[in-house]
Amino acid sequence: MKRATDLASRLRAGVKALAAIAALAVALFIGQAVFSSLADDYGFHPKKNAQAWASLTPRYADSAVCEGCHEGEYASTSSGAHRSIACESCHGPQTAHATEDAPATDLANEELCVRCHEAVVGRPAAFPQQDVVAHFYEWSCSQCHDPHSALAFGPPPVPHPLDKLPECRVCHGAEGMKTAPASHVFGSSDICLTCHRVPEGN
Amino acid sequence: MKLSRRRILKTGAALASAALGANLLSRAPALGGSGSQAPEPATAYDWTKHDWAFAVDTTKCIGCGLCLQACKLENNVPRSPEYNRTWVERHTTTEDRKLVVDSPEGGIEGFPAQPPVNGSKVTKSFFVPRLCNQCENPPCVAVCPVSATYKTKDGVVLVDQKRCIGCGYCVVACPYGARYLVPRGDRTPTGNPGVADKCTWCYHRITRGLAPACVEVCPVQARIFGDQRDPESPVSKTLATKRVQVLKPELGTKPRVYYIGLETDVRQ
Repeated sequence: MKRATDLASRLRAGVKALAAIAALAVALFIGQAVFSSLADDYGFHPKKNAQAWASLTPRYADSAVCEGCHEGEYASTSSGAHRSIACESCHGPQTAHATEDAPATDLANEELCVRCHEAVVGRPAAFPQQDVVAHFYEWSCSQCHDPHSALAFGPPPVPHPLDKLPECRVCHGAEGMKTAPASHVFGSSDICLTCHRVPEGN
Repeated sequence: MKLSRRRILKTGAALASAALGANLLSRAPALGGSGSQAPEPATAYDWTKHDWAFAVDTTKCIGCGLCLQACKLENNVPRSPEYNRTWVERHTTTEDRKLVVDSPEGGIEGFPAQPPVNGSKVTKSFFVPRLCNQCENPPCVAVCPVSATYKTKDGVVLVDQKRCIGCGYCVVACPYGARYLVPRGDRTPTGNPGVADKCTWCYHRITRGLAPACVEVCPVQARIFGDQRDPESPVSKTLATKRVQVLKPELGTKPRVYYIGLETDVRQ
């Protein structure tokens, strides 16, 4: 009799234990469901905030967008030494211009030419750089260089008042626009002027 | 007695879930509202399918500063020179083995032709673009007391600027100086003054398949970006073929920004 009671009470205890485990499992299941949705907000990776960041609007469009209307400039740029430069590197952010037909806020100007091509200590030696003071006189860059293709198309007719021009070799030296034959010696302008005369009327 | 205890537990659990559920519901509209102006939210984007990385080629950088300009325009970064998500330094070594680092206004207007070396002869000099390293093991996330800053699953460290309390711990914890507090009166991209801000690798661009603004405008491809899961991406090709280093490897932060052509002094 005592044994039977013992067994019965043990059974009851076992059932209670099982019920407790089951209740715990259900609670964990619910808790997990609730907390995993909370994890979107409060977990290690708050997904909703990341989505808020992702939904900001880009201001820089992409060169592919520019190509849609400005084919000529795009083709000219992609054929020359400036081919790896995005349109918006020089022209500034254009999403508003491309999507809402807002006027282009064009940042391009000739200070940008200097910004990249001025000789600055620290630039890779192979990068094309100019001593801006010696190279540039009183014209704008675009009078001789096309900013898209990066090609020099030769200078316009140049008046030659010597007091307002750089040294002869800047234009007529080995890397100049109108190069003198290689047999020439390039020194100061005085050397040139021993044989050459300044064109008349200038 | 046992039954009543169980009832108490059950009731408690139900109440707790109800309270948490209500909290979740009340929280949802506020967050949903913050990004509602976007014309094409990146809904199809799955952050478990990407693994972003960044490479910087210091042998190519010309210090033009277009990256800073683009970053500030793209991300509403305050124009004052002390607030930057990215910046460029020039590291110059002189004949007498002195190291001179200059970064006028972060380099946003480019650099003067000569570094400030007082007439000493320069033996080497190069530019180092800097930005958040989006560490695999970020100290800024570890110190945030309100868990406002976190790692995304695609490898970017972001700030929930609605949770951020602007205490500045993350700003001092970052070994790379990549963070700043938005000045009072100014606004962050997600709209709050006074909180922490940092480079997001233009999260709104990369999730749409665009490059970060600084990468887009870099005229010499000194900044390289892409998905490491795509073997054809520019960054995968760079990491596969070039010898790279990270900044301050001894700290164990595991940066995701890799540098080509660094000097020892820069790395540490």
